[in-house]
Amino acid sequence: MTPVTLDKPSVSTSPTASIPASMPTRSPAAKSKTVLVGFDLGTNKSCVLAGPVTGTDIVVSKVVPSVVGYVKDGIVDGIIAGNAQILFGEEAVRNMLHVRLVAPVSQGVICEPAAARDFLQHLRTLVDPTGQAEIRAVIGMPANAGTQARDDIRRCAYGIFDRVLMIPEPFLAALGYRDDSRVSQPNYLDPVVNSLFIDIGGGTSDLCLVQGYFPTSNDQISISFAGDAIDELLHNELDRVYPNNGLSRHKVRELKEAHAYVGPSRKPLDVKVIMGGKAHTIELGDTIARACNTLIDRIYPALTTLIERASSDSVLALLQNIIVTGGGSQIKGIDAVLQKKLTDDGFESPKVKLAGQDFKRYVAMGALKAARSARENQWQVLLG
Amino acid sequence: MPCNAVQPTLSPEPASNFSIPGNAWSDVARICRRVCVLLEHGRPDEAALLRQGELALRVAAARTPSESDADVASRLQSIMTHEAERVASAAVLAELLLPILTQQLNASSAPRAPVAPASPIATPTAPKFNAPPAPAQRPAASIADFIDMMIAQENATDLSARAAQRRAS
Repeated sequence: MTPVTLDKPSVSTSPTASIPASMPTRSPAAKSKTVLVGFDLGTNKSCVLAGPVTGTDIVVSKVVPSVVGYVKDGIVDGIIAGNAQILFGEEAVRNMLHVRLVAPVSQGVICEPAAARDFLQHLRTLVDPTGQAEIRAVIGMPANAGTQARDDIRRCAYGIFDRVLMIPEPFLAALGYRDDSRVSQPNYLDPVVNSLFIDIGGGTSDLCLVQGYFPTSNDQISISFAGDAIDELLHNELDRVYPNNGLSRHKVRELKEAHAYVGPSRKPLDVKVIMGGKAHTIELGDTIARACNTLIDRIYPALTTLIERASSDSVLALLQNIIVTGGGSQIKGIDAVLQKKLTDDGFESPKVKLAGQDFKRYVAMGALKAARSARENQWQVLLG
Repeated sequence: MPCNAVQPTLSPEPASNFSIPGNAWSDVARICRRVCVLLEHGRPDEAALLRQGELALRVAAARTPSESDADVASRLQSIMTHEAERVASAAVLAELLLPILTQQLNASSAPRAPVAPASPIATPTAPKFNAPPAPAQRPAASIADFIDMMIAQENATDLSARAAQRRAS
């Protein structure tokens, strides 16, 4: 594929940090092809999809834990495969005893720039092992992400991606969720035309009205309460009820992912865990309900606020198309509880649906669709 | 939609049987904003009607028994001042935005579907931008059009921030 050239970017490009001397540089002339990337940089997990400029093929599809492991000093040769100094994702987690784990993202935005750069570089290697391609990435951002958060992404992406576009995640989720083959069918509820997306991630819960035009800041609400906050509540509660339990945050997250639910208590919910090397059975029914129902308490007011902002002409159809995605969509009963609350509050025949098993990929799928549709003058060129 | 909140019309708000008490003052703010938009458009008579009619009703509904007349008047004045400032800023921003948006729309040679307004800002000189048809009645714009709208919004935000900086300095 012939490299595409840009006459003139239509938008101001990023201010960027000074570039490390070790920064890989690629001359445009050396680039043999263009690869498009849809990228969901999540607080806990990131998803990267990549494919050629034309067509709908996806040649790389990976979900990677958003974590970088820097190998500790003094680890003897052979302990870490290939004597690598930096590990990523699952490999970093598997070797957590031998590495310093760093999470580059917190609350949906970059908090550790150096680790973020290493992480992005790793992802680039996944999509372009040769290092010769021009990489254009559409990157999801939390709803209402500020200028600083955007600049941080640009700084970290400089020298790794050639061109970028940053688009709010819930809008990308709607694009990714849309079944393009059914758009022309009269009875298809196109999520891009009229829907309300609730994207519950690790760091933030993002709600967004998607109504056939690009959502304004008033159409989006981002709440800094999501999966990680539930983990923290759960961990604190377990520490209170079972002192000195020794459970790591990682283990608590596993418990949540296996048993999370909302609504009335499902007690008893007995779960076997290992504490101090011994098996114990702990009762999680009330604990999990309290932690997860807090999420409902936080997002429900935002949900009703956005519904009330919708025009009276569209709100009835909108109420039929409320979609929960992200990791939070795996909380049992979340669709039914939200729907019941809306019904109880008098909203007209609401329907809350779960995005389904591809919930980890919708943002990246939407990002890749956006990358394939972006006009040449819409890409931002990263400048040093 | 939010752009309707600054729509310079006197059409009544859709009746709601599920309003939340905590939002009552938000309703007041919305009416205040409409009053300010009407004033901005040089329609003081309609603004006065709205103020004496719907606004008075909304204020009466929003106030709690414990609030004195002075408290309510003070709160209302504060909301009105805030909304007047927002509308004035929006009007200035719209003047700045209009040539930019026009330029961007003209620059694109690709055929495009009819698009919704690129910004929630009411444009006094182009009121037709204020009322997109209901989503159910129109096709979605192309993804590239969405990106255009996003870029226009970002540019508007940048302009707004710069204008605020200039005012502050």
